[in-house]
Amino acid sequence: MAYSKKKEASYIAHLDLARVFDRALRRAQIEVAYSEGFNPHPKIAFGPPLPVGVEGVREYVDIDLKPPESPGTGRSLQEQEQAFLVEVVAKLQKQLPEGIELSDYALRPQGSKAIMALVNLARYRTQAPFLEAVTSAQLKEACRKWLAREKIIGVRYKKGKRTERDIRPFVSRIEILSHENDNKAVMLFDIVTGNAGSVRPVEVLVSLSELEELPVDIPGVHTTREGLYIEQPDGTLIDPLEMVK
Amino acid sequence: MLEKNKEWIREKIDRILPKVMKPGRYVGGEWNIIHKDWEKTDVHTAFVFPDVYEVGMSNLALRILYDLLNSYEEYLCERAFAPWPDMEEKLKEERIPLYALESFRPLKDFDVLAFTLQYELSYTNILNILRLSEIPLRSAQRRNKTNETTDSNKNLVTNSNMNTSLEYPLVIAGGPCAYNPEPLAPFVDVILLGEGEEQFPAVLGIIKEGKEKGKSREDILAELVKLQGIYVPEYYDFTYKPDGTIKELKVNKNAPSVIKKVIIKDFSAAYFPEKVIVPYTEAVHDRVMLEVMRGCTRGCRFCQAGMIYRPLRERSPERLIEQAEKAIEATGYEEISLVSLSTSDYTCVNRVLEKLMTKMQGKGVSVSLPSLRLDSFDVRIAEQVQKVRKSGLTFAPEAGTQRLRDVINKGVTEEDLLRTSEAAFRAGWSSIKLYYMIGLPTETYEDLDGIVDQAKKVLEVARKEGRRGARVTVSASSFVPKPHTPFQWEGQDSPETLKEKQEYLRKKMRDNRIKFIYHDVGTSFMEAIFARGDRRLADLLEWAVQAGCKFDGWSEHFRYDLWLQGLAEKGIEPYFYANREYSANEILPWDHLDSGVSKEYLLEEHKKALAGMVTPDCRGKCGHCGVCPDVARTVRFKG
Repeated sequence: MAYSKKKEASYIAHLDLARVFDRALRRAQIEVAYSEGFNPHPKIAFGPPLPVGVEGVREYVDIDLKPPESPGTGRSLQEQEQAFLVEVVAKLQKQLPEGIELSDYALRPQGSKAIMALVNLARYRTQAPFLEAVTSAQLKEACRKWLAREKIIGVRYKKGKRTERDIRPFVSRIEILSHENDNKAVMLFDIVTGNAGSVRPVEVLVSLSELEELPVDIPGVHTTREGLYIEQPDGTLIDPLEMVK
Repeated sequence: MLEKNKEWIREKIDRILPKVMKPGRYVGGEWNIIHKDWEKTDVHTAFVFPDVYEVGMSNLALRILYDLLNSYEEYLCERAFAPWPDMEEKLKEERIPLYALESFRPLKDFDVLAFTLQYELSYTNILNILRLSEIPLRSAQRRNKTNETTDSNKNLVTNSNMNTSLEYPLVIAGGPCAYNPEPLAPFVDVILLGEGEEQFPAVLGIIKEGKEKGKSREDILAELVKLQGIYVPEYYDFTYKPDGTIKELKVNKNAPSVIKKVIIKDFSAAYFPEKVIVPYTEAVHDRVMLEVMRGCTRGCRFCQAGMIYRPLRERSPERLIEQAEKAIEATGYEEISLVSLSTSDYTCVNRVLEKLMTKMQGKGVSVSLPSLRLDSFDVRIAEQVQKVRKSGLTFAPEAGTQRLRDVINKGVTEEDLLRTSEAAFRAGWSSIKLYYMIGLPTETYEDLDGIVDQAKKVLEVARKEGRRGARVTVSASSFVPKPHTPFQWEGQDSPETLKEKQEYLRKKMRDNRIKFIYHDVGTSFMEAIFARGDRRLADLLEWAVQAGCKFDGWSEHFRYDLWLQGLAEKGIEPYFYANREYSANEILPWDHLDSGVSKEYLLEEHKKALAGMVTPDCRGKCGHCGVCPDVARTVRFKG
């Protein structure tokens, strides 16, 4: 299923999401498949984590549903499947927190590989206010210079520990969408995601403001993840749900 | 001046949240949250839990009262918690006042701030919350300015807009520590003694009327004090003898000389919240809490809850099943816990468990029991409830020898412990946790040796049952004498003595099959000071908050150094409160607060304790504590 995650819901941490969906499914009385073993848990899988506080326009969740027991009569299997899905989505939507909205769905063929593992690109849109006026030329130049660097050290603090890593390889594209009155810009970031990790757009902005002296008002930055894609070797982007459909 | 309204706060908060831990604590929006219309409700209450969100959201009182108050059309109840220090820092930096999670309105805008007093070491958080809300700490500073200065203009004031009658919110407090709230007396306007389900709405009714009629804070207090269980500290005045003990309690002529607690007589019918808020960021107790009964009949002599929640009142099994089903439907929780002070004592525990498990199977919902006693522990029950997760079992023998267990009236024997351990190991458990207290009245080093012996005997049982890898965790907390218990007169061991005892045990338990956990001596010492404290400690509290004390119950935030400095600066002799044996003849700071259990009974129990005599469970034979039948009757169902 594809869903959006906005407003207060953007503060639900990735690690808490499975619990949120599990409880919503139980309230909706939708039966879910459970894992075997010592500590059974519902089979729910999510796409790449969305940073806390960042809104998501099209996020993905993969839920293993228990198939309905009594098949409808006089309809083709496809029609029955479709009807079942429509019902599940409607019931689940009613029980989801405000800010999470289901927007699309598809039936994943049994035994097929989890789509989430294929996602390799995340597109973010950020609104960045400036602390002092920045001209279009200055902004363009800053982005160009930053992208031209070979290696860029990003610093992260995890549980008080400082870690450094090269963040440059994660940024495949920066686009300036609009630039109003020299005091605010809307920018698009295409970020590589996958097993090798990723970078948050705000980290890129912090680095831009430090290295290229771009006066971004970091606490005022608002970020939205526009979409997650499977980027093909030829550069075309495929929506994961479209791939299943 | 810029008005710090909810829109302003909301916008500011979004800027700081990315920089704090667990921002989900500060935004509300949870499932089942209740948003009511501010303009269409008459009294606005913020239920304030003086600890962090995850702890507060686990509290049953909050769940009950939040839901209950909002069930009245005319009342609005929102929530607030103590911000974790990282958030406090940001709030201060940005000059954002503390706000309620439902509407983001500043706490200062509410008519009532209702604090729950669960633990003495959360007192600093209460004052800190007032500070962060830009509300004066002391009641005396919150009196209506209009009233003090323009008495002759009173008629003009009463005709003005409804909200002007209270300049600041009324600060109300209830909960177990309300049975001796004296250290907080100058800061709190109204204390609610007893159970809030019926009393709280009655209090709000008076405030509603007061607001409508434009009454002053003082007039509203004068009305409130006519209700049962309402204690208005400013109506009471203590004088002291040269030796520091209380000389006399002077009571305002309009206030009762003794405040009797309020209690729910028909507990089965009492309000139970089905649509509880389901947090997104995990709470400490993140499950349906099914309250099977209130009160406890065991009569352990150290236990305050066992005394102040008397009498025992069970909820009918049918009602519990119904409540459980509705709660799961409304919350989607994956676990139900049967809660009370001693759930395995609930008469119908087997029946309810079996029924619940049949009903919940297939829904992916498990059932758990939080507290088990050794003597009523049924391995069959435990096996059933722990079918899914074989986590450790927990028992509380409390003391290491039979002699000392008789002194504290903990009616379990070593045989109970070993028999139960045997059954548990046989049923597949491999770890057991044992809870003890050190520093109990009459304790000797022989009693401490008893703890070590017991741990080793349990391991020996495990070996015989073929569980070679078995582990025992021994947890030793330090005894804190609590008001309204038979041990209220007893002194706590000095911090030095407690440390020696901990060290003694630690050395004796150098065995890699035993894990020994003990608590910080400093926190137990401060807890003892405030538990038996009086009003003269208020200055210390105020000083401590200004010095930066907060979250004292959290070892990473507890500042023993500051507390010791504060005691010295304020000239307070801690020994007087924590370690001194209070005399049977002296007036205690909480003598005017009546839990229903008589002082004569407590004295008698104290005597029996020192003589090593046990008092049987009052379900068998009434011990004449004073509660039944005058306060309420014991209610039980057929098992």
